[in-house]
Amino acid sequence: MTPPDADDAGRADQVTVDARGLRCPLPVLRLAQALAEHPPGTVVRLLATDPAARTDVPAFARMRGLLLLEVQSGGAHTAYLVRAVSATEPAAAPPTPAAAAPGMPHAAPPARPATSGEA
Amino acid sequence: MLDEARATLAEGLGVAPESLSFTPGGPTGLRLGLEGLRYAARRTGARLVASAVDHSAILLPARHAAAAGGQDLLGQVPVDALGRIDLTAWAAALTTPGTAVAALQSANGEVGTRQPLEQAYQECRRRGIPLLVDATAGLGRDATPQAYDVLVGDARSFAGPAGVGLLVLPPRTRWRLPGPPTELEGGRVDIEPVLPLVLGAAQAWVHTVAAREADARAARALIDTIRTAASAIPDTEVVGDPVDRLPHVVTCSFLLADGESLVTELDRRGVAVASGSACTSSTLEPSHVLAAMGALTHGNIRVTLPLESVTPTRADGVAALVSALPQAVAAVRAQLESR
Repeated sequence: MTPPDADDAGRADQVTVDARGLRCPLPVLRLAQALAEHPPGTVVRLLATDPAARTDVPAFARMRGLLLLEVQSGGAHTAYLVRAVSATEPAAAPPTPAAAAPGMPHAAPPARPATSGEA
Repeated sequence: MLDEARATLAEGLGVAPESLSFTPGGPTGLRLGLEGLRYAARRTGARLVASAVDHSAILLPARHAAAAGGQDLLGQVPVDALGRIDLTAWAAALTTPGTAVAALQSANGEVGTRQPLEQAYQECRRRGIPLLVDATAGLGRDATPQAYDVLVGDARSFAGPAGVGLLVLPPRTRWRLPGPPTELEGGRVDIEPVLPLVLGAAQAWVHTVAAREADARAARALIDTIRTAASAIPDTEVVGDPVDRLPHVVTCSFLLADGESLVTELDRRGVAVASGSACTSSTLEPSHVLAAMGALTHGNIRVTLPLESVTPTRADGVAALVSALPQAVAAVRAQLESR
């Protein structure tokens, strides 16, 4: 697995969205906004520390028919590579969250303190 | 009086009074039930097989033990998108050497999906592995499970008081706690049952089962209206099995909304629901149930309908939720979009 910080952010067809320190659902919101702002086919590289993103990014991709190309974990954050599928291209099944979850170290705590709701 | 309450509940569950012990709550019942099965089977091993959506009272201690023990002490059986175990994976997990105990919920309290208990139990019996069935989510509201070696319930599921767990141990079950036997509850519990709570539980059971079928039918129809209304909102998933489920439970996930704001927004409109979203829990960890199902863990609302005899206005509450939901979701999404 590639380390999360492998630098290929300079590619023209790829944009990086830094959602580190943001709590759900903001990482997924930032990802949705980036996909909407860029032409179809753009790969969005989302960086997130929120543990809920491990489940929510794959679920978002499934619900919107996006391709989750890769999940890179192992560092302080996790990188998710997501691409919108063009109209002529069939959507592939994204990897299941179970495949990515075991053995993954816990992400760094978010910048803001947790508000307690229903515990 | 304690004996009378015990006889009432045991009869309702279809067991002998001696087989029923009271614990200080459902989670304690689960822990004790499992501990006694494991100790009695200690020569076989110490490994537990459970589903990935089972109760935290079962999974968390087992995960902790597995992490500390550095060996294969827990087999977690995956579930499909509806939250149901894969029976092939269940059977395969049971064949791992050292497997001493299995645990499975009758239905999930978050998403309502029922598990294939009969088949799962047959797989256990074939291999001589005892099965603990966790019925804490639906006992009294749904048919009482019959396929088990240990059954655990919680009086809260049938509108009884908090603080009464039901631990059912038929004579055929090999079950023993380490250490000297206690003097209480047939030697199975070391805390005396609180009489008024147990009496309340027995009374609640009688009331609940007297109207069970009619109440379940009405609850099922009400949950269906919530499922239909939520499904009509864009970017929404209604989680869990639409048919083979508890009659009174549903969870919905709204993409790009946050559960806490949604609960607040609904509350402002006079509708009270719970959220199971990751962002509203103190640990920030997403619901292990929704995560195991591959479902969205943010923007969730969970509805657990009370009994109509306890809350006569429940149909009005559902109608209010159904009418407020589209606007509440739109409002929360608009707030979020501007952040």
